[in-house]
Amino acid sequence: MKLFFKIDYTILAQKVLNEKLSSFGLKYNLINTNEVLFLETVSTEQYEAIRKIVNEYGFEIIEDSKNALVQKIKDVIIEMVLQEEGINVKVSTYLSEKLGHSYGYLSNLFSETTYTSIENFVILQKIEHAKQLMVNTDLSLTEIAFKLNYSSVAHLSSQFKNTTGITPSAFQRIIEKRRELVTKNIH
Amino acid sequence: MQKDFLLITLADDDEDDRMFFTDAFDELKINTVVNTFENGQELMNFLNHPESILPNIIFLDLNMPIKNGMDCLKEIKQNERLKDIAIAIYSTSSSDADVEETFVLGANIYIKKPSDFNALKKVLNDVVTLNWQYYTSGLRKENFLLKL
Amino acid sequence: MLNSKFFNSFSFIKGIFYTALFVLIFLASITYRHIKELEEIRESMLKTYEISLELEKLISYIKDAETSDRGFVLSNDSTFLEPYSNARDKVNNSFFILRKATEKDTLQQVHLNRIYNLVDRRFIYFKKEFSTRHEFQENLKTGNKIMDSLRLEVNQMIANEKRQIHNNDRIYRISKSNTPLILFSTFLISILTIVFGYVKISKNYQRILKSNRQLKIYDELSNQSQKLGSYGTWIYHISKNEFLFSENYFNLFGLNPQLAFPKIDLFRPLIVEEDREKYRKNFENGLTNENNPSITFRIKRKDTNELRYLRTKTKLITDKNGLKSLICTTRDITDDYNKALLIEERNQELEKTNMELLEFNHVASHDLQEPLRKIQTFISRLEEKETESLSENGKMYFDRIKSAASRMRILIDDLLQYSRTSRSQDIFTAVNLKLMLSNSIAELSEIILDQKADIQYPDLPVVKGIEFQLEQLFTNLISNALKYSKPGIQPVIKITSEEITASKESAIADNTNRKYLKLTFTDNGIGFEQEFAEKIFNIFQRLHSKTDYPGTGIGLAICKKIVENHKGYILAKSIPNEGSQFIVYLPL
Repeated sequence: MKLFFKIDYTILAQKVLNEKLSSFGLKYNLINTNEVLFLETVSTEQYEAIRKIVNEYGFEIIEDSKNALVQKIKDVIIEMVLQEEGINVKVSTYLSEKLGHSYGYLSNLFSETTYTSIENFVILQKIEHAKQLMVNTDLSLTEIAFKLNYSSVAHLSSQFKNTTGITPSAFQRIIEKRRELVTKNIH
Repeated sequence: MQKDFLLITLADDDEDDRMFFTDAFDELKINTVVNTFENGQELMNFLNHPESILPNIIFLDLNMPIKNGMDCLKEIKQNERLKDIAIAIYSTSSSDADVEETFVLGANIYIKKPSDFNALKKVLNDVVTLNWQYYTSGLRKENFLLKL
Repeated sequence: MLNSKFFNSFSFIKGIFYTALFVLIFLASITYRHIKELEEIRESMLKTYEISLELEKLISYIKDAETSDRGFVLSNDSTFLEPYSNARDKVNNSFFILRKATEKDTLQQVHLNRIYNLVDRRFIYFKKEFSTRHEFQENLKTGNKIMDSLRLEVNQMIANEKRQIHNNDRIYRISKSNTPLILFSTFLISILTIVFGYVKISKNYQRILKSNRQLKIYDELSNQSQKLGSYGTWIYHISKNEFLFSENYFNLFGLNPQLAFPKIDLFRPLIVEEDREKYRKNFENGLTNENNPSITFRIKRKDTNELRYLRTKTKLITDKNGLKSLICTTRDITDDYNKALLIEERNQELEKTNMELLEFNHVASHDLQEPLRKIQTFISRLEEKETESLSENGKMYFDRIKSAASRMRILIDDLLQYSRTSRSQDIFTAVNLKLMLSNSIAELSEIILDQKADIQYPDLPVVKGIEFQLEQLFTNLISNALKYSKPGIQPVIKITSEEITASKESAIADNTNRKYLKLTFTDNGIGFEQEFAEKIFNIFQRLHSKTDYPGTGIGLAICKKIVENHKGYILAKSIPNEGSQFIVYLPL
């Protein structure tokens, strides 16, 4: 029997943080999924301890604000892509509004830190989301293209191929064959 | 345990290709350490060694003596400890069908060896960058497929 | 009408015969009766004569008696009594005769009885004693009266007889007139029947003779055909357990056809041992089964001991009397068999050679890539690092090396692709052509965007084919169109699709009613001379110098190979400077 999950990472992250942080007995506020405001001073040992524990769950404490901002940019973009509807707005406008910086500044910062441009990242996220939809739902390529605000299936296919090097249909085929292989190996 | 460098591993029986590979990474701005092996057996020996640092990306040539790339791929994917490492097939041209076959067996990336050094640098750069994106941006590893 | 089946059938002849027979018997019986009648008449006449005579005799005897009585009376001489007593006997005798003669005639009998009574009375009067003359005269008178009555009766009787004669005479006269007619009719019908019968029988006989002649000829023809066609036949009458072999059947087995008592046992031993069971089973099956398949078996000829292959088929036939026979045709197929074997051998050789060539092609292309790639990579390394230290000439040489290596790369890539297309043993699956086309377009998206090309295409159906190859086909055709576009003008590529029937499409060799999908790729590029329309699909064939338009000339050859793999057709049409049209036919 196969089970597919749609995972709400926000809830997951919050739960983990709450669980772990509460064990330290420190007063804190969870502002976002990735922002915690400690209402007390945190000693170096505690900081290290916290860092160690949350690392196990894939949480990385971002060292400085620049990185934090980059992370924020990423999060906003991911959120935007996942939302599916809000991609009518231009990315640049959306980001600068949401984060309170000029797009030029954000763009440069992002490129310096991650070695890729925001545009590329957006495309990457969209394609990733498309992959998710292809793998986990029965939606046709046309429906997915529509969902992700592509002007046509061809546009989606083209961008998909540019990003991954293979066509969406080849991708689906490979995933399917992988699954078959897994079931074969189980038996 | 975090490293602040990327460990790249290559298994290729061709001396020149190994040289191109390491030279390319040398010239890239990314902080990488590259180790190479002459054939699949040596690679697996390294990977299976309990004290080895596991690479971030493994580059596999397909045609190698003693143990070829396909066999390594299968072995790695069946090993609990190793199956999550990104694998890039690094090979001379193959047909589309063969390429798909490697993806189906679990490879994440397929690279056709370029015949221009600059192209090689770009390809390797793209691979590493994209891999890092997957690593840092919470993207689903299973869906990481890239053909260059 | 005279030739209709009914008139020629045996039943009709039988009918005619029986009718004639009946008629003849009828006529014979009539004739017989006629003769019998004449007999009767004759009898009757004789009888009448007899009766008349007898009656006269009777009168005479009585007269005699009268006379003698009178004499006696007159002379009282007893000698006169003698005739009197004789008379009585004679009279009795006459009566006896007369009674017999008038047996059948009641009327005459009546008269005869009266006569008898009268005679009796007369005789009484003869003997009557008289005493007086008056008595004597009375007796005489009465005697005379009786005589008169007697005479009357006799005359009556004679008259009756005469009347009978008259009647008989009349009948006789009538009959007499019929006799010749009857006789003649009898004769005529007999003659006609005989003639008709003769004609019919003679005709049938002629026909049979003719058929027999024809049969002989056909038989001979059949023998000749059998000899020429290397086949023989036999018929097996099942209930009679009788085999009839054709002349050439013997020849097939190397036996002498003139053998006196041909039996099946002559042939069976010549069948190769391993095939005997198969033959026997097939024979047994043929005896009962309407549909007995043909079989091939081997024999060794009796005369040359040569191994021959025979193919035989039996058929069960039932004639209209329900008798079953088995007919068999056997043909010596050794030559055909050997030829077929030879062809198969050659085919296999050819296939093997072909495979080897393709393998070689593939391996060569593949293995050539390695060193070439190295060369090119090192070239690129050198270019980056070392070209400054080269002289002007050195730099130029280096450039030439680079471009030569480049060309070689494209050539090998194309060759490899060509060999892959040829080698393909892929099975056909359902291919979504629309998807293939959009994949091709995605593949070429960079160049398409670069040249701002406009590609128009309709919905395409699903066909049976090899996915990778069909995508390659589209990619090659579109990239071709893009490559040979007019410089400075936006390339427009129109793709149309249509379902057609092969027989209606004169451009393709197929003349059947098979359906094809006709795909037309029209571009507005530089075009080419129509006379090269076939040449361009040849491998390595180029119409332009390599500097004007880079390429190896394999692209279209690959297209042709792919289309051929799918049992389709590809054609090209063009007008220089106006554009080109590539038409692909794929079987549906």
